[in-house]
Amino acid sequence: MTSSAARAPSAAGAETLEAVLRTRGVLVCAGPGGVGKTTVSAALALAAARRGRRACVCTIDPAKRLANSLGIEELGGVEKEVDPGRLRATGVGLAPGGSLHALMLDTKGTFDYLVNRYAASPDVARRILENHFYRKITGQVAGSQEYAASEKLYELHGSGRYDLIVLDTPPTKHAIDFLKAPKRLTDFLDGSVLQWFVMPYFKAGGFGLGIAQRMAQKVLEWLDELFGLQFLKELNEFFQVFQSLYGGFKERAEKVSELMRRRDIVAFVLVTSPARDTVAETVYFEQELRTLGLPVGGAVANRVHPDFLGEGGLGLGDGPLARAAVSEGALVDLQTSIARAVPDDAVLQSALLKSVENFYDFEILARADREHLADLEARLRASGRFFREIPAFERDVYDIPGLARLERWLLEDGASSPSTTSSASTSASTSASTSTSTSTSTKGDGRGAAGGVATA
Amino acid sequence: MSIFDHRLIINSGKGGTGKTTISAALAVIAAARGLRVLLVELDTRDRFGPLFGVAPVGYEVRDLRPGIQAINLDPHLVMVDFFKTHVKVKRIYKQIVESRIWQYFYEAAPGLKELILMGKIWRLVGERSFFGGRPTYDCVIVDAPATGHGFSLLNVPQAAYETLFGPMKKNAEKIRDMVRDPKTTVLNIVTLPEEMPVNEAVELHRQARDTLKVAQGVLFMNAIYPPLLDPAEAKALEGLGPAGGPASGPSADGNERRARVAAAVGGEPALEALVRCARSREERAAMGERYSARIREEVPLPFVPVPFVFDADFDVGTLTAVARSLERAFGVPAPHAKRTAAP
Repeated sequence: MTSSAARAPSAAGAETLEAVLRTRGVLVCAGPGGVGKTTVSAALALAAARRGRRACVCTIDPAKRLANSLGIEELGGVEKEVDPGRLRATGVGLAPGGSLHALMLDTKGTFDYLVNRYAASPDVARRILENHFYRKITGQVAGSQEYAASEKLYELHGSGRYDLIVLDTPPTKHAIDFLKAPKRLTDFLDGSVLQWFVMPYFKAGGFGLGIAQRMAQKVLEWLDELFGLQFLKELNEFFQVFQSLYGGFKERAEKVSELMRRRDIVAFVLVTSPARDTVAETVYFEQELRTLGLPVGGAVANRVHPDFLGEGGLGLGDGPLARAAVSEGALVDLQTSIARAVPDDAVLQSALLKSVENFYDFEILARADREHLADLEARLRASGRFFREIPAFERDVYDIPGLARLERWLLEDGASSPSTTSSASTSASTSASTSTSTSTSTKGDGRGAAGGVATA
Repeated sequence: MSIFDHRLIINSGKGGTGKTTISAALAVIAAARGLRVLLVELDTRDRFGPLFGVAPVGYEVRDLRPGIQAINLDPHLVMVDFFKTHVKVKRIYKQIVESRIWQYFYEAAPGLKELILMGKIWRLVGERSFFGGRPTYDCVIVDAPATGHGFSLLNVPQAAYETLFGPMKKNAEKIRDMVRDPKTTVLNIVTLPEEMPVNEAVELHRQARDTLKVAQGVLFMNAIYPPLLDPAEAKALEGLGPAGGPASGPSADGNERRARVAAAVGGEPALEALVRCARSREERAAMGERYSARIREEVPLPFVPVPFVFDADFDVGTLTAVARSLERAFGVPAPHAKRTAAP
């Protein structure tokens, strides 16, 4: 590719999410549905604004309360600035020069814009916009939403109004669909295929047609029989008028695709949950991105079950709690010593014993998450990219202060440092209601101390 | 009327709410009632196989355990099937399916994929054994796609009926009538005690009522954390006070007590982790109650809470646990259900 590819961060020095956030112009948050892409996208844009950048988050379908917090309740596809006064009022200040903008993607609006732009004449544009089939098809053909998202991204980036655009990708079942979709759409609009549809297929006999054409004729006749002539006629008309747009669409799609490969401008942020299937999907997606030559910045694992035992830093690695988790005898010992500590208080005893049991329940979840994420983390670290974990909070994040609090997990050093020595000194652990889930080291020795706990 | 009296049970809700687990657990308890069940998953990597601890399920009806079978409807294969039925000459359907023109048509025609899937479900529901004409399945349980797509799936027969002509219009009408027949079909909604899943559940309930006109069964509130402590216990735990209070003075007794408890569990950090973890659990339980209250207000369906299962992996153990809690909600199985008793 271009010389920009050479500026890719080297594998030797790990590039933090903080650095990525400060240096790139576009972050693409991608991952399978239901992992919290929208929240992570909004938190990243806010963090950038707090660092003095003009940031815009481009989202698809935010939770109502999040949309309310950002002030983008209504559709329209136009970005809006989140009132800095409103931000200050919630205790979230921006650095000088920083601003936060948000936009709810409007697929239909984006397509209408493209039609107006690429149609040969206003008359052609009008015919397309009024076509019954077009009105139905927009937003429904596989890939139209994805196409619209990347298109909007391209437009916003080109406008120069923002230092950073964070794109929250549409909720596809598989993360990779986002990348394949625009190509599917342009393939679909490919002129060479369209000609089959505009061919007069009720030619008598079919003399003089090649085999492929005869086949197409057969298929069309058959479709006609099954679905009815009217339907095909509408489809036919749609293709006829849309054909004139193909060149413009394709050129635009190629430009978008070129932008996506610029390592100096774009970074993909993989967002995942700690569930086994989802992580497997993310690992696959990461490989796929690399194969396609697209720049992966790193990954954010969202809603990781907090590890209340923590790492060696808390000194619980081989204490009574850890021992009782693996041995019946040690559990009886623990129960006995709790009973002895407060012999006169049966209620407190019962509360403590229930808390111990609850503690083990959560440990099972935390260990499983760790196990699922280990491979992904190792991969990313090995190639000098970031890996961050956000713990599962007790409540949903949907307001500005909530988004600001995510900064700590996304960006701060103490919370997710790859170094094993510094993680021991996380005094931060006492402040949060959730675990520090501190280190994300894959070494396994820290957690391995009580590693015998059954995770099945 | 119990949901098991319907021949077609559809479960939908936001992605990640546990539709697959609920569908599988419903199959387990339907089978326990003597019903022959078919579990259906759509356009996805198989998840029933791992959940039942057996080999992956493909596009061929397979036994998962006695009384429970499953099929994974890959749209492409369903489409080939569809052609086999509608195109008499074998050589031709292959050519059609493989032709680019068909593939583009398939991509372009909104809802065609869903229509073909619904057609397949319609055929499965109507399938009868060769002799006697008894239905092959008492209960077809569909693990439907997430809310938006689930809605399109159920809405497509009506949409197709309005747009299409020819034989497909007739087909669409038959499928729509099946979906709207309250004796045949029931839709259950699965949600979680969180903001987005609850919002989507409310929306799906309204769409089902106003647009789909499909009978609705129950609302499953999945993965609710049961409260850990009773109020007296919670008070006792909080009564331990904060760490590092003064060693003498009015609260010295309390501090001494806390120190003893801390020593028993392995030190102050361990005690703190225990308490924090318990608090976190209580907050989650409170959230479950809040969202349960809200959805019961907004969605007037029978409410079935499903407790969170502390399990590292979603496997047979999880399935058994969920099935057990559903069984409690649905009551003791009848010794023999009426449809199986009938010849």
